Amino acid sequence: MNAHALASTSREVPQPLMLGGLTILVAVLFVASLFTGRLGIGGLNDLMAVRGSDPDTFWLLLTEVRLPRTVLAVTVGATLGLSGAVLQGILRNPLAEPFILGASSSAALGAVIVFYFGIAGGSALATPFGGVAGTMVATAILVTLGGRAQHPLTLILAGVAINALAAALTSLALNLAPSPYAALEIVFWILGSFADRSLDHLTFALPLMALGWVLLFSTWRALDALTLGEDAAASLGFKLAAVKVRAILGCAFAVGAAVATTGVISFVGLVVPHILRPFVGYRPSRLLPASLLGGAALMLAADIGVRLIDTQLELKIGVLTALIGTPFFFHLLFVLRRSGQ
Amino acid sequence: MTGSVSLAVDRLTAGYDDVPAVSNVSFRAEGNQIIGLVGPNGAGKTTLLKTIAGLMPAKSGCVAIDGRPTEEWPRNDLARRVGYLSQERTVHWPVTVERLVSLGRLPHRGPWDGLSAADQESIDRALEFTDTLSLSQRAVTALSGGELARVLLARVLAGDPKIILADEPVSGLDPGHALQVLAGLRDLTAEGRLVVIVLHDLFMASRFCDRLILLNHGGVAADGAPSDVLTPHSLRDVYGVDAQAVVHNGETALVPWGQA
Repeated sequence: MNAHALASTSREVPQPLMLGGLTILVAVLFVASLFTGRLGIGGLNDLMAVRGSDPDTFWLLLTEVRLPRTVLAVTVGATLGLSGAVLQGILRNPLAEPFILGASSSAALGAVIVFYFGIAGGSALATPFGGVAGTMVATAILVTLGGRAQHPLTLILAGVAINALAAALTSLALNLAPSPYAALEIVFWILGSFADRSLDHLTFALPLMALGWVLLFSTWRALDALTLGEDAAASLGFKLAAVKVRAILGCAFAVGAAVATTGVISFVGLVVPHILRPFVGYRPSRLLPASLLGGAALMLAADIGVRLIDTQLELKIGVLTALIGTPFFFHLLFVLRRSGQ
Repeated sequence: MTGSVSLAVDRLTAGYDDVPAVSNVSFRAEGNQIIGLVGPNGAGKTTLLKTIAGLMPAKSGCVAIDGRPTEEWPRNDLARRVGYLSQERTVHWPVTVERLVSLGRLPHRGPWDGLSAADQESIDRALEFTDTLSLSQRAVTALSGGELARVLLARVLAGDPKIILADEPVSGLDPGHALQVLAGLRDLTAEGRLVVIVLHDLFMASRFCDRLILLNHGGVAADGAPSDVLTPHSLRDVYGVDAQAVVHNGETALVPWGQA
């Protein structure tokens, strides 16, 4: 009996306990995020002092600055966790994740193209649609390819190629940027951050993300059946072509809108499902709500972290997740190699 | 629904390539029997089985189950009627044996239904039948090849299908486990089921099947009782081998002995 065997029976947590616990964690972190300022300045005490002397500023700060940032952290984290879990289930590949597969970079590229060429008046608010288009192209290529890929790493190589293309085209836009200001805007999508986002950004991104979630969740039963492979899943009555289209569109709407609003935030979709999988008994369907909540919690915690870490300029959250996620990715590669897959 | 089952394959041509893997195949079958599809590598056995299961489209011709063409069946109803055991024995996540077997109940459950008492009964029966009840809480990744083959068969049985299509259910199994699985499949026909299996081992095929369909180059080379289908003549023609007859308790079986 190997490690998997012990894990699958001993670490499982009942579903209500799992989801209840994660929901409470998200709620606590949500409130903490509302009352966490840069380097701890503007915390609960400071805010309460402001509230007493200047209630208008208090509410402005809370609703215009802290609330959009916190809501974005929750929704983008949830998007990345959920889409990671769905991609891993559809492709039956524990390494599948929006960033590694190039879906995030393609979303960033789509947003940059919309911004750069001034489509829709160059409004930053129209960029989510560019992100959706970019992700759709990347995910469609991957899912089409992924069904046939025999080895988990084949798919990762496809992701490397898509990432390389997206990076090249984004660099081209950066290279030809008409002004330092435009270049700075483009760099934003490469770094990834929740800072300085307004409620206006949310009004475009949130409905798209919500639509994506619905599509992603609609694959849940088929993901369980896919544990047995594509032929067996089809023989159990699932129309896999339709399931894949829903997964592609779901990723496109959710990840595209998320990345267009915050920039590329890497590895969340890899780390969250991987950590939670033993606790749901390795069942792909049960992993979806858990990863949604887990992604939100991780993103909130990380965003509180970047505000508290003492650096001269605030650390971008995309930089932090990349620094933490890359060693984790290496670890998974070694585990896969050891298990002979 | 426990009544008789029927399968009719009518002038079926199928396959993804320009040269169809199966061409102009016809046969009819009723329940209470086990049919073996035999033939050399690339003869079209797997394509035929997949097309019958509705997993591959027919280029021309038709597969009808209970008198109704498979493409006219609602997918979920067909999934309840026909169980398909893939040649591929990869399980992608280390779920427990019981959970894996319970996937066979998916066509019987609504999207929001938990496992009903009837579901659990079918699962337990399938585990018992395949002698895997003692493994039910083990992770599937921790099983031996023989155990996994039986668990995957239990997954198919849990769906209570009236037609069972199994692609090389005993390949890679040692003789003891192969005999156990084949005897199990043969026992299933007693409840009115129709079992169609792809087999490479001609000796096992003649021992366990009521009827054999010998495929060659995508067409039917012979169809009938094992002793009529597997003859020194047909083995030489189709497989290019010389065979020796082995007689035991009045039963005769052919064993491939050398290249013709």
